[in-house]
Amino acid sequence: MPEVKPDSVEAARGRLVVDAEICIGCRACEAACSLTHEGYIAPSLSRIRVKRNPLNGPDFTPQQCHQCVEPECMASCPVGAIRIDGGPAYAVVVDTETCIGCGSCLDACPYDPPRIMFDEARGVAYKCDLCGGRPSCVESCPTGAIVYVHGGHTWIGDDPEGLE
Amino acid sequence: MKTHGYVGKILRIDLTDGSSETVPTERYLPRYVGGRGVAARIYWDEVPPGCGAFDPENRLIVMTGPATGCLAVGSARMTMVGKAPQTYPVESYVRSSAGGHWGPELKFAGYDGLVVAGRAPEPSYVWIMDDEVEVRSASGYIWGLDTHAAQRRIWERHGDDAKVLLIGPAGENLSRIAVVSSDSNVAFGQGGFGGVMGSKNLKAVAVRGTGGIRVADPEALRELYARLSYLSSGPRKVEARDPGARRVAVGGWSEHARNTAVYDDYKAGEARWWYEGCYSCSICNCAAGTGKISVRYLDGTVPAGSSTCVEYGIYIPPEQGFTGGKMYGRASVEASHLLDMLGLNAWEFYFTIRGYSPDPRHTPEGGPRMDTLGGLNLLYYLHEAGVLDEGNTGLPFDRFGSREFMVKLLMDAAHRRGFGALLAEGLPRALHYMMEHPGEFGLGEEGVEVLRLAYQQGYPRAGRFGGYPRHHLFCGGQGCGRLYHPQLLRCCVDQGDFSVLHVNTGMMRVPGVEYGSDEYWRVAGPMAEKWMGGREALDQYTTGHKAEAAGFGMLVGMELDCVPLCDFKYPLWYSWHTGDLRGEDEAGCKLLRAVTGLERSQRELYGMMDVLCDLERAIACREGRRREDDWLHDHEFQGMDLEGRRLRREDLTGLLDEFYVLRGWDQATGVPTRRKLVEDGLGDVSAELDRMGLYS
Repeated sequence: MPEVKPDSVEAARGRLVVDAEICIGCRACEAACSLTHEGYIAPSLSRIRVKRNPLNGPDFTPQQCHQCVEPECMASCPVGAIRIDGGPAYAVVVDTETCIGCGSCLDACPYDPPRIMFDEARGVAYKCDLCGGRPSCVESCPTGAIVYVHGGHTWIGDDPEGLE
Repeated sequence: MKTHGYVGKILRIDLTDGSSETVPTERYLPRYVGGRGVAARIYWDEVPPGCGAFDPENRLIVMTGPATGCLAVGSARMTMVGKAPQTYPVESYVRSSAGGHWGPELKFAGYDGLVVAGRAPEPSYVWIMDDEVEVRSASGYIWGLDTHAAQRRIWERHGDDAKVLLIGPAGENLSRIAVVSSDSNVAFGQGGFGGVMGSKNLKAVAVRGTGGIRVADPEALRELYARLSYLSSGPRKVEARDPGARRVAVGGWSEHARNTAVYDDYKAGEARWWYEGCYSCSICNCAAGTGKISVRYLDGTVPAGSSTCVEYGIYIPPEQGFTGGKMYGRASVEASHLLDMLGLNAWEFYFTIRGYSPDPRHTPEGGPRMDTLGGLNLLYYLHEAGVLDEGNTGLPFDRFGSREFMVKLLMDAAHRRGFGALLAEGLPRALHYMMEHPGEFGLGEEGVEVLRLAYQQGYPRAGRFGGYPRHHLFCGGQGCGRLYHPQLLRCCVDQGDFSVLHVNTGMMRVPGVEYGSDEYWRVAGPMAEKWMGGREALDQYTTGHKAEAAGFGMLVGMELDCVPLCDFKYPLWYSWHTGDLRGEDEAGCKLLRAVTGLERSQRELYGMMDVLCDLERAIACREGRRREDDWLHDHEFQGMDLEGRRLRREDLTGLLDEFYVLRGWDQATGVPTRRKLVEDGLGDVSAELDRMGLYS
């Protein structure tokens, strides 16, 4: 079993940054995310979730994977199923072929709720892969509350030029 | 069979014995499309004409459409249908539409709709978690609580991802003006269905779904979403973020919003203000700054919540005023949020105590001086006219505009206390009670006449199926008040209230362009020619093509409730952001195709809507509606529009004649003809009308 230490991997080059102040809680990001990754619309399988409290706002918070520089999910995985992908984003991704479904990554994630999720039906972990460098949540956000930061560029989802 | 858009089942719950079952949605497809169409068919099949709104056999039917919960701007909507207690004087079929997050959640749980029958033996609520459906006791738990407190308790028990459809104290007390609401400021307003839920002993339906919706063409849907978001967004762009951004403005304040006392409070650091979207939709937040706006006062003295221009407009203290003043402030916010918590219909209390129309010519002599009348300003007018006072109502009229007055009024109405018991019946019934029992209120003949005029002005539809306050009637008032016959025609023939008229106003308004200018006709003319048979349909100064315009508006309204799409922005004929100002006039069929795979042109889709409008009319006729009910009170012919024009009786009569012929409804009776219904494929419907003697 390969040993992977967080400090031995290259950090993700892209990440999602959210501004909860301008989130309107519409959850278009959840719909777009599940459509992209699962081929159908199912917020319960979205990699990004919006926490809504409609009765005591302003309280809408998109909860995204931060693509940690030292990913603890990756460090905790006993089988090396979490790795940096080869795409332009260098996202931290789950190799579902290798994943044994032990759930240790969910426990290791420093965020609450964990930004790496568990697919009960398939028995594997899944997480945000930054859509290979053009995140669909960013693309679908009507207000620009989710932006994609990659290198020196901040993309809010309109013109794909500059994304490389 | 794999279905797209639809999730395949309709959940049926009988509260009398707590049983539930599902029926395949396919039974109603493709003919009834979804939403209001399917709901209307279920109503026709299950609610007999003699059924009272509060009878256990009445149905509460909630239907989503194929696009509900999908990634589409304005598609979060769902329709509620049933025998409505609000219609005056005869209870009748009404449909109401709402957005929010409940409809999508129902689909994620695996249901396209919900039909509730019977009456629970004790106060209850329904908990739906995917396939599990339970009727549970609400006694000692959420019965009696306001809508915010009840939702919080449900979230404690079932998790805060649950979406809740519920009633407040007004619905529990069988108010005819009680709404069925969700979150804050999401409500089925028309019809008084909150009272129907109360009559069924049903406090709430909480739902959580972990499933999903398959769509026929994900790529097309994604492209359509981007395009419709762009076209539907408001005039302003994101400030100080990315100058090239096409994103809608958030946190910016429109001119309208700046001119409020709430804005001053926000600037002073006393309040927070934010925007909120229905599922996958940003329309309200970008449309006008008068969309769904949420406010919280940081000192905690005012309950937090959200509202639209309508609810904040229900109570505007005199010193703030509507015209020229600061409009709404702390008391307005408190009134609207209290109303939300009590589950009362904002429309019934809309507008406020100041006159909306600045021109005295708009009001006929002897009538109330305000044109847009709802509960609160109507009450104030009646007070000024010497009809209502503290003595006969218990309401402290000398403190009108104060927090105290508003709290007493709304609490009494929701809990049926004192004069509030009368208000809970809705203003039309309340006013008629006073007219019929003048002695109880110390009224003389003059007072009764004032009440009669006030009723006529506040509730424009005459006949037996009225009872809904005016809105966008374009006759004798409103800021935008010009006589436009299709609005009045639709007001005559429609069920429910007049916010249905948003559709026709949307077709008339080209963003940023003056009505009637060359530029206006360059943009709007081709649309009118394409869909309504001629550009005259949009001409306010003639009666030509107005029956077509009204008929078309009716079809669009049905389309928006079936697909569904929000009438706040659709039909999306125009856009701020295209060089030629053109929008997307075929959004409905394109969305339907992307989501369900149903190949229909927009014109074919309108053809399907034509059938559904006939079905609804057949329902109305089965419940006793006839041509003589499709009329307006005398008052509407006396007032004048902004340009001093009056609606003439002969014009309206002629247009109605044209309208019935155009729709294939009998000109004398207003009943859809046998031939038309058979052409529609609704032979069984025409057979029942025949059996009931409607054709003899």
